[in-house]
Amino acid sequence: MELEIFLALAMFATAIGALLSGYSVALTLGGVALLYALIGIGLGAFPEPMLRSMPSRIQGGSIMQNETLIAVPLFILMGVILERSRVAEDLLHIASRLLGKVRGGLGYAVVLVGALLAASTGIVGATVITMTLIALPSMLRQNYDPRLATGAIAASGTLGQIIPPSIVLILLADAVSNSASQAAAVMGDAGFVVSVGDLFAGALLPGIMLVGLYLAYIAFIAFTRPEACPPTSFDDSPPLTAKEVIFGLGAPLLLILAVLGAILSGIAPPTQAASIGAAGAILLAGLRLSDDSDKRLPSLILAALAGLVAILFLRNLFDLRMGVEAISTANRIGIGLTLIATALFFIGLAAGLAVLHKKAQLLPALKSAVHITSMVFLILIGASIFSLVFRGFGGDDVVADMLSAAPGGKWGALLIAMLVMFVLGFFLDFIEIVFVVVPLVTPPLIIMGFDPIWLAILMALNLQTSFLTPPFGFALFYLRGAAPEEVKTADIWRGAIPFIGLQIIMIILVASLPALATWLPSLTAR
Amino acid sequence: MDSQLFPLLGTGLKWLGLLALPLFLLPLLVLVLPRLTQRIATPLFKTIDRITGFALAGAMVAAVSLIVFQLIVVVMSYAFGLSWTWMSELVIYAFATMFMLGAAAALRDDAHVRVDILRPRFGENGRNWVELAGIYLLLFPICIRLLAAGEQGLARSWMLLEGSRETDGLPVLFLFKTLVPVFAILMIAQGVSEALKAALRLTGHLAPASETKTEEAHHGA
Repeated sequence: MELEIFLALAMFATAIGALLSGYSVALTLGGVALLYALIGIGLGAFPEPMLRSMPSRIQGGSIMQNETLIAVPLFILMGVILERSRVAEDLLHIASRLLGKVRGGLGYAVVLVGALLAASTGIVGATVITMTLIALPSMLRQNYDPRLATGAIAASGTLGQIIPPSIVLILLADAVSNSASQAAAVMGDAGFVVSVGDLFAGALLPGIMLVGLYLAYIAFIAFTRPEACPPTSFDDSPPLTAKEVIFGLGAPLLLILAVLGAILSGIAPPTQAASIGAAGAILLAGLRLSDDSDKRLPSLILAALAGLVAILFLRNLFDLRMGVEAISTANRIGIGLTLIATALFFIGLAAGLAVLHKKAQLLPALKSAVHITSMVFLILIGASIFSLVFRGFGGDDVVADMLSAAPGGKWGALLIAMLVMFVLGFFLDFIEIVFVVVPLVTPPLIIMGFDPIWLAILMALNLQTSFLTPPFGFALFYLRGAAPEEVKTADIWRGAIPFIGLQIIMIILVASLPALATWLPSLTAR
Repeated sequence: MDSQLFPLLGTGLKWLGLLALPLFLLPLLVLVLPRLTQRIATPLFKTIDRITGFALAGAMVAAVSLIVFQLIVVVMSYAFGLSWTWMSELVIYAFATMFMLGAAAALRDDAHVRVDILRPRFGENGRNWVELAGIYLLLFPICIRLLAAGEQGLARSWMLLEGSRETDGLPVLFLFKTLVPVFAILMIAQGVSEALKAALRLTGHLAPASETKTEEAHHGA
């Protein structure tokens, strides 16, 4: 018994040491675990059949046939296509032109666009880099305090984790729902089911409040230290046309609201909504990138949008079910019309893809979607080997015992788990923590009586704060990499501090008022 | 179809794999005898990279198929109240194919996440040694273990030409299960290629990897 626990702890320590070498995280987690499993088998401390189940685990319901996670590559595709079509740039330009005239306006623009981009891509690095490249130079040119500018950009970039439809929330939902069913098995309770929709609903209020806090802070600075964020003093570019605003701001907003609305209202499960989102991104990108040389393609794309709307209407006008015995003439017409609308939709989708391909954006977008998806799922594979071996040694019981022995009862246990995740957040990505740490600490915490959704939201807020905390915060790394040389690293670090304060306020708010995270999910559950 | 044919074919492939084992040593040979071996090493890693490129193309096709199949599922069930198991299985197949075929390309293009805290301080040579150690101690063991552990189950699946458990499902579950060894073999091959590149860089026969990759690579989620 003692030997097994020693091996489990040594494996954890070795993994952390090996991770610091800078080799691929996924392979390090899996490889170190495998080496320890082999040692364990040699010493008779590890059940060998467990290791033989590796391939069936990979092809089973937790990885290759995981229906929850199908939404992940779809949202990634949606994000990279929007990124490739320069929707992000458009958003930022329009928002800063609209808001630039007031004090702190560029700051508000960055926060709002960060929230929107977050909702559309959910990729911290991409959002931070885009905003640093576009917004930071113009903020500095207008004599913004570099600390305020970089702090706002880094903080807004991390919003992508908490504002739905964030990719990491989907991964977190998968991990937490597994933990919840484990906990339920121990407690002898058929209780909790945690779906992606629940987490999206739970994260919505805290996410919006966080945006509100950021905006309020910038307003406060604009009021007390006007010189830190002056309004635009000169503007040599032509005024914005209504078309630009509707198209650049309205269209992405509509797409995001439609996807989110469909999930939260329960019309469509996340996977289905994600595929609509990806299709919408293709259509938008097709319209955005097409120019006068290809006249027919944009009209095809518009026809596709019309087709989509038509399907929604027709379904409510007619009984379109083809499976029923007798179909009335009216319904036959309805079915015919819907088939035409469906065909239009798919033709338009093909036109969108054609435009993307013509502008040499399709293949790079697909390639980077494949890269990001493979990255995520290789970590899932590595982490599942790690968890398998850690469990084989009984490491999960050790973690549970340590948490239950924590001083201060269940709140002490929660605090310890949160602190550990916060520190791990310095050098591990959200994904790794979700796949490795969450399955270990969540079941005991749920058994102690914490609500799974509330726990997940707290963890998401906690990790988001970790990514913002100097010296190791991920967002700050990305920002440093993309920021011009004359911005001092010390300024970036100091700029982040007020926003960390806001994060902590938010964490305390959610911790003390669980309804902030659990009220909306309880509504949608009905 | 003759049910004996596939296991025979599988055994043949396995022996082919075993015969290719000396290739694992090539990166180490490059370290010792760079001049003699680089004539084999350079074309070999280029070939492997190209093969991985084909797998990437397959993964990209799977990505587009994923969107299209999932949309068909959505429209059919939302508008017409129709759903077929084989259609939802196509979605799953496209989903899994995307990352099982794409993982090796992500390895080639350095798109897998690393911990970047100490890495910049190691210097070019240090990073290449880490790469070599990682490939031999971590990547190869995982993939070989996957191949070995999956052999029996896969042979059974091919002998039965195992199909979906549902009656209206796809009859090709054995192909889906084959994605795991395909993934392992692609990763091993790409591992050999990366090890060759690291060894060639260490001996000065290949230009150092550029460190200017802020946008494409590692933007975590």
